[in-house]
Amino acid sequence: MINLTIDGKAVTVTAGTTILAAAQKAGIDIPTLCYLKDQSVKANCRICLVEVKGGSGPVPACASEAVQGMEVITDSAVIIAGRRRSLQLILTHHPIACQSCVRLGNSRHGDLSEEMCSMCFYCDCVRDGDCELQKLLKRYDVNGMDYVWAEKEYDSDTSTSSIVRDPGKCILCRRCVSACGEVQGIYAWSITGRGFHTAIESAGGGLLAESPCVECGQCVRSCPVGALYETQNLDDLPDAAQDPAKTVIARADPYFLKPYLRLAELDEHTFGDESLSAGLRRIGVDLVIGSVQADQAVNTDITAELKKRLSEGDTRPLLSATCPASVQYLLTRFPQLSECLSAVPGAQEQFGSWAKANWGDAAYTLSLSACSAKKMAAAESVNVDQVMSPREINRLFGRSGADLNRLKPVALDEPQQQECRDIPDSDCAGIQEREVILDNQRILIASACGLRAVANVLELAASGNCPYRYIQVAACPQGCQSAGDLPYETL
Amino acid sequence: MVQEMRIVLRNVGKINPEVIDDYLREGGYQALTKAKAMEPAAIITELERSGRLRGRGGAGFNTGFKWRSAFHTQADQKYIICNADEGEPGTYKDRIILEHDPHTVIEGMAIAAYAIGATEGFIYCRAEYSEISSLLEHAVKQAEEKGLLAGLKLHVVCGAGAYVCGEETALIESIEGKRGEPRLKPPYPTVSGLWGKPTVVNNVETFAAVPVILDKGAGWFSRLGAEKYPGTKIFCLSGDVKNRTWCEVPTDTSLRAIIEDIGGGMRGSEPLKAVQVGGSSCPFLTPDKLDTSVDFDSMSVAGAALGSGSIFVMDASRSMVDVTYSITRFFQHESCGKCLPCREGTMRLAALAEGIAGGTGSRKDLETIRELGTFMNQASFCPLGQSAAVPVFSALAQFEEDFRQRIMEEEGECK
Repeated sequence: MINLTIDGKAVTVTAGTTILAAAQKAGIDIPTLCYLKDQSVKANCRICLVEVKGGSGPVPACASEAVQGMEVITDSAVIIAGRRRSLQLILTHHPIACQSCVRLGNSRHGDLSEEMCSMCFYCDCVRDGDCELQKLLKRYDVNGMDYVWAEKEYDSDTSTSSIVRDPGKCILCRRCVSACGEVQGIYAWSITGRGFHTAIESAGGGLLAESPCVECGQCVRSCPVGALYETQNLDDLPDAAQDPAKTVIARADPYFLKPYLRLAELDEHTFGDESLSAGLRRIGVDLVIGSVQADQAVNTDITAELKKRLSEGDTRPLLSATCPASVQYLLTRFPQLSECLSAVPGAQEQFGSWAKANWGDAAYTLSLSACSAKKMAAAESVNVDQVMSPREINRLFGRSGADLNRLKPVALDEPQQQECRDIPDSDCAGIQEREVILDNQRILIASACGLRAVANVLELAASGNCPYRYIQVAACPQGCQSAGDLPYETL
Repeated sequence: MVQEMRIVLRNVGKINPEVIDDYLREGGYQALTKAKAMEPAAIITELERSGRLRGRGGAGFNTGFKWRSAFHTQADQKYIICNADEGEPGTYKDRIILEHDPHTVIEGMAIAAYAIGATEGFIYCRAEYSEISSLLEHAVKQAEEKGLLAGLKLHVVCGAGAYVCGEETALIESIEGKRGEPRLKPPYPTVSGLWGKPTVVNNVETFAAVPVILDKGAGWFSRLGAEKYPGTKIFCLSGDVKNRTWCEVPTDTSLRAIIEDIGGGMRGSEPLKAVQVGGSSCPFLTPDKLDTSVDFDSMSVAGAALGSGSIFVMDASRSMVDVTYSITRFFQHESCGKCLPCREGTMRLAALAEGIAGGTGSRKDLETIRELGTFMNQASFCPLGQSAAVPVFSALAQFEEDFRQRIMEEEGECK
C-alpha cells in the first residue's frame, strides 16, 4: 500500500494507482477532459496537471502513479492559472454561441445555469448545459480572452442517419478516436493535420457515411462537448401529436429510463415507467407500451428459429440480428455470414410492425432508445416513424413544461409482463458462453458485447469450427446498457 | 589556432562511401570483431564508465547507461534504432557523417545490437535525406553480403517530414506506422520501445563514435576534450560567419575559437551580436560568453545548451525581433498537435511575435508572451512544446531593447 497526501489530505492506495484515482478516493475532484475510463491514458488536454512537492514541474494526474510519501497539490495558484490558460486557449476558436447567452445578453459563463439552459430554446445547445467544457469554464470563471479570436470554419457532417459531427465545437481531446478505434476496433475517426491545423476527420477524409462507421455511437457517448451528438429531431413528434388523424404510440426500450432520469436529475427509485408515461402523454403521446412485450416476441421468435434449425440439423451458428450496428458490421466485414443471420428483427421493429398492424397508417410509432444504431435502423424502416434519445426527450420535456416532479404517474397501456425466456440475454463485456437445453438438446450459445468481441466471435463463426449454435451479438462494450447516445459517466 | 580532430569523421575524404572495401581498408569493422570477442556487459561498462560517451543528439544522456537499461530488460525481442531524423535548423552533422562514411554508423549499431541483445535494427532517416537513405540501403546490403551483420537485420526507413519525430518516442511511433507523436514516459524505450520491446535509440554521431572508442580504448577517448563530456563534437556553422562550414573539434574547444578559426570570423563589417548554439529551441549567447567551452555542461552553466551542435551566428545588423519571429513560426509549423499547450500555444506565440515584428505589437503583448511561454514550458507534453518559448525568453531577456525599439517605433508612428 502507498500512503500519500493530496491537498493535505492523507490517502492510502494500492501500488500502480494514478494520482487522479487516488484523488477520487480522497474525494478531491481533479478536472479532466481527455481522460476516460475504459480508454488508455492520453494526457493531451493537460487540464489535470497537478504539482508534486519537490518535483520539477506539474505532472498530469491521469498519467502519473502515486508514490509513497508523495505530497500532491491540486489547486495551487500556478495550477489554477494553467487550467485557466488552457481553457482560454480552447475558447479562442470555439463557437461564439457557446460563450454567451442571447437571453442573458452579454453573459458570463458563471451566469448560466443548467436548469435554465435545459428550458431555453435560444442557443439550441445540444448539451443543454450538460457540457464538460462549459462546466470547467464556470468552475474556473473563464470568460474573456487575451487573444484574437480565431474561429475555424467547418461544415457539420450529417451524412449518417444517427450521428452528427460539428467540428467547430471539437476540443481535440481524442476520446471519440479512442472509443472508435482502441475500444471498438472500427477506426472510423482519424487525426489529420498537425499543430494548430490538427483535426479529427472520418477515416479517409470524406463523410462519416463513407467511412467504416457502423453507427454504434460510442464516439457520441464519449464526446465531452457538443462536437458529436445523435441526430436531433424535436419537431416531428409535436407535429404528429397535433394531427388528429394520428395515434402516437410510444415504446421505451429497457435501457432508456435510467439515463433519462440521470440527465433530468431525477431519482431512479422515485420515478419509473409510469412517470415517463405521464410525461410522454403531456407532449402528446396517445399510447405508451411497455418494453417487455416486444422483447418477449423477439425471444420467442428467435427460439423458434433456433429450434427449427436444430431440427433440420443445420449446424451453422444462428446470429442475432437485433443490434443494427452489429448487423451492419457483419454485412460489411463478414458478408459470407449473412446466411447465418437471424430473420428476427429487433424489438423496436417488432413494436413498430405490431403498432402498424393494429392501427394502420394512423399509427405514428415513437421508439425511445439510447441507441444510435436504432436511429439508423428506423431510417430504413417503414414501421418506425421516430427514435428519440434520452437527451432529446429531456429537451422536449423541458421545453414543453413536462416536469415529472409535478405529473401524476400514468399506467402503461400495455403493462410490463412477467418474462419467460428460453434463451437468456447478456450484457457482459466480451464473449460469454452458456449451455442451454432446447428441445432436449444440450447446446452451447454465446453472447458477444463490444465490436472487438463481435469481431472475434464472427471470426470463429466464419472459421467453420464454431461450437455455438446461437450467438447474440451487441455492438456496445457492455451491451445496450452502454449504448451510444447515453451521456458517459466520466469517471 | 584550433585544430580539427577528426575521430567520428576520420574517413572523410579518404574513402568512397559507396565501397565497403575502402572502409575495411581503413580498419573498418575491426571494432565489431573486437566487440564480439567481448562479453556484452563488458562493452557497456567500457562505454559507461571509462568512455563516458554521452549522447550526441542533444540530451547528453550517458550512452552506456542507456544500453545497460535495455540489456537488463528481459524480452524475446530487442531493437536498436539509429536516429537520423536530423531536423534541427542549422544542423547537418549527421548528413556529413552518413554521406561520407555510412559504415561507421552501421558498425556502431552492430556493436550496440550485440551489446544489448538486439537482432533487428532501424535507421530512421529524415525524409529530405532521400539520397542518404539509398546510400545507407546500399551500405547495409554490402555489409550483409560480407557477412558482417550476422544475427542482425537492419532496415532503413524514411520519415515523413516531421521535426517532432526526432524525439525518440515519436520516432518509434512513426516506424510503427502511426502519427509521429510523442508517447508518455515512463516507460522509457529501453524498457518498452518499438512494438513494446526494449529499444535503444541513439543519434548518428553517437553510433559513429562507438567503433573508435572500442578500437582505441575507452581510456584514450576519455582523455580527449572536456572531462565530463569527453571526445569530440561536430559543429555546423551558419549565419553571419565567413565560412559556413562544419568541423569536428575536441569538446574543450572554445566557442570563440570555432567561430574565429574555423568560421573565419564575421562575414561583414558588423560585429557579432548573438550566437545560438544547439538549435532553434536553445537560448542565445551574447559576445561576452564566447570563451565558453563547447561541452555539454559548460554550455549549460553559461545559460545555453550544446544541443545538436549547430552554431548560428548573428551580427549587429540583425534584429532579434525578426529572429524570434522566424523561430516561433518554425515551432508553430512543427507542433504535432497532440497536446493543447503546444498546439494552441505555438500558434499564439507566432501570432504575437508576428504582430511585434510587423509593427502592430504592444508592450502588453510582451507580457502575454511571457505568461504563455511559461505556461507552455510547464504544461506541454514533450520537449518541443516545453522548449518552444526558451529562445523567445532568451531574446526578451538579453535583447529587450530590440523589442522595445520595434514597439516604440510603431507607437511613435501612431501619434
